[in-house]
Amino acid sequence: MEVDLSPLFEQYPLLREAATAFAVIFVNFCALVILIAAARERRRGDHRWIKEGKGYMLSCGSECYTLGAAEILIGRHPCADIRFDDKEISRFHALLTLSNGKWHIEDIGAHNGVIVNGVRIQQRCRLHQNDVITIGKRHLTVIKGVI
Amino acid sequence: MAKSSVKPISHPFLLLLVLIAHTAMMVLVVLSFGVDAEVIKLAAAVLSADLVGSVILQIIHREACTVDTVLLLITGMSTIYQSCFGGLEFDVKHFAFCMASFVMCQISYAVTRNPYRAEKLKPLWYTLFFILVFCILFLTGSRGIWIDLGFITIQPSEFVKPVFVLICASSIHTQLKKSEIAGFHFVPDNLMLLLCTVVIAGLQWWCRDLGSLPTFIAAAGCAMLLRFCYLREKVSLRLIVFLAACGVGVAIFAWKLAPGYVQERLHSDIWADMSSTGYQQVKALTAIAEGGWFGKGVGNGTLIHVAAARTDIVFSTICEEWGLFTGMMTVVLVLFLPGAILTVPPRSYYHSGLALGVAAVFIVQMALNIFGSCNLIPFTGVTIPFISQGGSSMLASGILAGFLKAAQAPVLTDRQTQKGGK
Repeated sequence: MEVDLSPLFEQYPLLREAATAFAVIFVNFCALVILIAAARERRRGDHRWIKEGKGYMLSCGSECYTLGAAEILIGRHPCADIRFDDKEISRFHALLTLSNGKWHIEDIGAHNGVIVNGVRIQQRCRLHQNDVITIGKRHLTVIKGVI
Repeated sequence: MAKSSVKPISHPFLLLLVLIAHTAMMVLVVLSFGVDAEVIKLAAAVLSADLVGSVILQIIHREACTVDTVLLLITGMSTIYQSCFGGLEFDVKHFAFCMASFVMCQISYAVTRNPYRAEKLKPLWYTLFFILVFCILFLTGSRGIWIDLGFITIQPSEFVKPVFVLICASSIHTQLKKSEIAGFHFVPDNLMLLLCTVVIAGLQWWCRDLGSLPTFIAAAGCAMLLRFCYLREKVSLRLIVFLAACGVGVAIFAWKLAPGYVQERLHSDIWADMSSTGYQQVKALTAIAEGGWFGKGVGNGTLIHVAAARTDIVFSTICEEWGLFTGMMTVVLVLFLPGAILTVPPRSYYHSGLALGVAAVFIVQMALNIFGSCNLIPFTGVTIPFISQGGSSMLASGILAGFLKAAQAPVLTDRQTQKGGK
């Protein structure tokens, strides 16, 4: 079966431009909807993350820090995820990590150490809700955010 | 725990969109070429690939569907473009590589979705890197970049890109491991990255394939920037000035010592030398101008007779036949892939490094190709990911897209912790 439609374009030159515009508009429309879907995926990703990380947050006085990544650096360095401008806190003090749906904290060479529930940790330590982490003079409480 | 209020994204709905987009393009192809066996083959291949791809994704997993959907859309469009340049002939080989790149994307996603595991596999990535370097040095003939197996030619330098991006990615734990030699403290991982960058730069120089060098430099630069910004303790203004001065010094050194053919391209006026060095660029620019907003018509282009019309100057070939609108839309769609990391941000430093590396490779490659075709920069001869013809480039791009998917939908399980490590 062979149908030659090219004479159509020769007879109606505007038809080719209209057909191209139609194709471009449709592909662009699809791309736009995929973008909207991606935005929805972001919200879904956030919910998935809250589930994965149990919705844990760190509370320090009136401040509240969300744990938005699988690795959270705590320290005095300007690039730390949770930064405290306190001389007793090392530049890179502690590292929070998430694996298998569990949060852990470890001392990454802090001068004054990391204390969890009153005990100075020597190795990676698992965190539970209401645990109190002491870093320098700061007391951080592990709390559960609202989902 | 409260149930998520966000409804899952419907894969069939996204597939429908991709199908509509491809159908719209096929309508244009049918109007241009009529209905014959080649058109039917092309339509059947592209539309069935959409269906099969979607069914496979539905069975395997439902996460990070943006990357998969965009990939299906782009590979289908690419097959249609490549089959219609200069007349209709279904490009089976290109279609097969498109499908293979989709498969490679899923494989690389499976390998890298767990950042802890992917980080532990780093010795393997170094080994792979040096094996590929060995292949380029000894199996490509006299300072070439191709391995000719008779029935197929392979470009190992393309496969170095994903391996190099894997080397660029690093975790905080790795960055905290410092070694001391002769009183100097350094991070072994950073030293290895520097070594690999020097090796690849030297190799590109040796192979006279400096076109890909900016891609590697960009990936390494992004990785270093990420490390210095987040992971180095003593970032000082002096260090930044020193690094910038080193960069300028290396650039001047490279400029002065660049091979003759590079010097020629850097200083050539394409309009004054239209018959030799400026031939491709003049033709490419003329084709874009002749194509206008809506193109000369699918299959009516003349640029296809110029060397590298399907690869290095593919943007101009698309613009000539399909129009500047379609060309720009294609560019935007390819940029959607690295842009996906903005919609669902990576959750680990390793995946951040991986995604940043892929974004650098894709964006720099596209910029080199398009700006080179438009005479804004010297012509380099690199491909547009997924659009240009070329099996090695297509497979490597598929692997890189898998990294983006891994950054979007990570699996954060650590076997060591599972076994009982506290």
